[in-house]
Amino acid sequence: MARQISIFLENKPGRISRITGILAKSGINFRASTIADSGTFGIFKIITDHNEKAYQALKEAGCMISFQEVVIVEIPDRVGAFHRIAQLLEEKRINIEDVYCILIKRAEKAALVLKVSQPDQVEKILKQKKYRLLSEEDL
Amino acid sequence: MKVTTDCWAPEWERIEEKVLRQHQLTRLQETLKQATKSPFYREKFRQAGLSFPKISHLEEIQQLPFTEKEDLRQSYPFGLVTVPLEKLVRLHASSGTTGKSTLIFHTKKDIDTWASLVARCLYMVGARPGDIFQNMMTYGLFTGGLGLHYGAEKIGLLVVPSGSGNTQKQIEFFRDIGTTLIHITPSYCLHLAQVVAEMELLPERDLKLRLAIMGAEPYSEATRKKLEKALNIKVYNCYGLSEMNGPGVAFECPFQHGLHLWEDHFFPEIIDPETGRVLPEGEEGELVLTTLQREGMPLIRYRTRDLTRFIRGICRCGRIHRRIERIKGRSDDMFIVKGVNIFPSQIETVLMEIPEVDANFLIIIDRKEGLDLLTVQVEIKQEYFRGDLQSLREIQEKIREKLKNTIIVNPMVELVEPGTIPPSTGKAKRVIDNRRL
Repeated sequence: MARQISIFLENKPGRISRITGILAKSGINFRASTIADSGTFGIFKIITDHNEKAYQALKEAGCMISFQEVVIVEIPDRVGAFHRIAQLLEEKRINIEDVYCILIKRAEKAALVLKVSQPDQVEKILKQKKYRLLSEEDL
Repeated sequence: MKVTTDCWAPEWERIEEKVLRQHQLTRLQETLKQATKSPFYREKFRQAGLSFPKISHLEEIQQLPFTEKEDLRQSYPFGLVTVPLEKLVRLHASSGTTGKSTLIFHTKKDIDTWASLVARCLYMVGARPGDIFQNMMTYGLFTGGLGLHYGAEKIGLLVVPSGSGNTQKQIEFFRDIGTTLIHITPSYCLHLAQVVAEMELLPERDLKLRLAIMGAEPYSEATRKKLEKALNIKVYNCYGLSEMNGPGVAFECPFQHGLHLWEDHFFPEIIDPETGRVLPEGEEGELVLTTLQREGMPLIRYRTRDLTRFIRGICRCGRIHRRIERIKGRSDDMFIVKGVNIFPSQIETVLMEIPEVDANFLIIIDRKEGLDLLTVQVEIKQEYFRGDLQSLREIQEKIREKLKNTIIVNPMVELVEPGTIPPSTGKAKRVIDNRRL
């Protein structure tokens, strides 16, 4: 199962650059990132090329972080591809808590990072439909 | 010296020094006798080696032990009551330093005595039958509402028990019924003045307000001047605390040079808060009060924690009741938000009972559009961080709810990153007050 790192941040200037600074110094590259905010604070969700190393570096710096299991599924870079996944999960009555999309331009592919409450079940459903599941390293 | 302004209770307000001191001594002796009827004072005096405290000079009060807010909390709920339950008719409460509230019980006579004192204050500054008095203080356990209410009715004012809040409606009353007198906290009055301006009302043209009784929070002379100008009113400073009934302990006369403390009802001392020694007249220290007339729950040498000084000499109004300066601050860390007394220790107690919350916290008080805003910053323990917003919002809401239940004021709860709040070791500042009162 793929994982993303969730980082608790206050919603004020300089909080993101602190994180990007720690990761840059540790030689870690970003693969994907998104932010969810709630007024004075938010959660910065990232996938990197070395998640374990990133986790350690952030932990040592005293950040409030946690790993979250996510499903990363490869989809074609085409109209309707995202919709097909959303529809498939709707049919199974599975709620998408959070999702973000990454474009892999060279390969004319895209990937969806899905946060759901039953990731194992979602992976099974997607596999049945012949979707390719990716790990952090595949991004 | 002749009293030059009208008196509600001339026999007491025009009393001569010698007669007043004799009265105080007699009342103090009676009060000590009454106090000994409570389990608390029996034990307190026994511990001080006084089976029954006898006093033949007023100065001998200095040999008696102090009563502290903590004593009231420890004896919760009835430990200081001196009469049977069937004689009690009213309970008021104020915030305790932690957990339990401080309860004050009154007999019918106590309520009447309190109302008479408030009537004395209001009459002194010119309130008369025909005045319309809008009491814009919170009614309920807080003494600001009912305390002024009963006193105003005693004089025969038309009382509008509007309570605080709903500012537009309050101003509608001003206009429609012609309110002349208000009782309000300075912070709420600043907001009121702002709303009056926003509604494009000119006080001298559209309103009949002439007097405001202002208390429950400390405020500066500059704030008074600002409000007097903005609302075209005269503002009088009022001092009281629930342990001493509530408002009506001390009040400004029309000369407004300090607040007359009604010495026929309260025996005042000013002490050094560190050593507990009584200070020479005129030096700044902590006000200590002894009730001289209270029946249901007398208090001996109660430490108010309010800092002030006696003003020397006799007031131009002729009343010999000594004047205290407006309250300078506190000898403890209590602060007041929206007229409500809050101790940092109350907030700390609530936070420590919530497992998700880490040890450090910070209290920030701001004023926005004339209203007090209380923010409590907390850090969440790493093990409770699940990486999603929803669970953080739930924690945030839980903290807000629990704090509100204890301190009454609804706070904003801010979750901050670990290590942001300075640790509580040493003299870390727990409260940041950004208001200018």
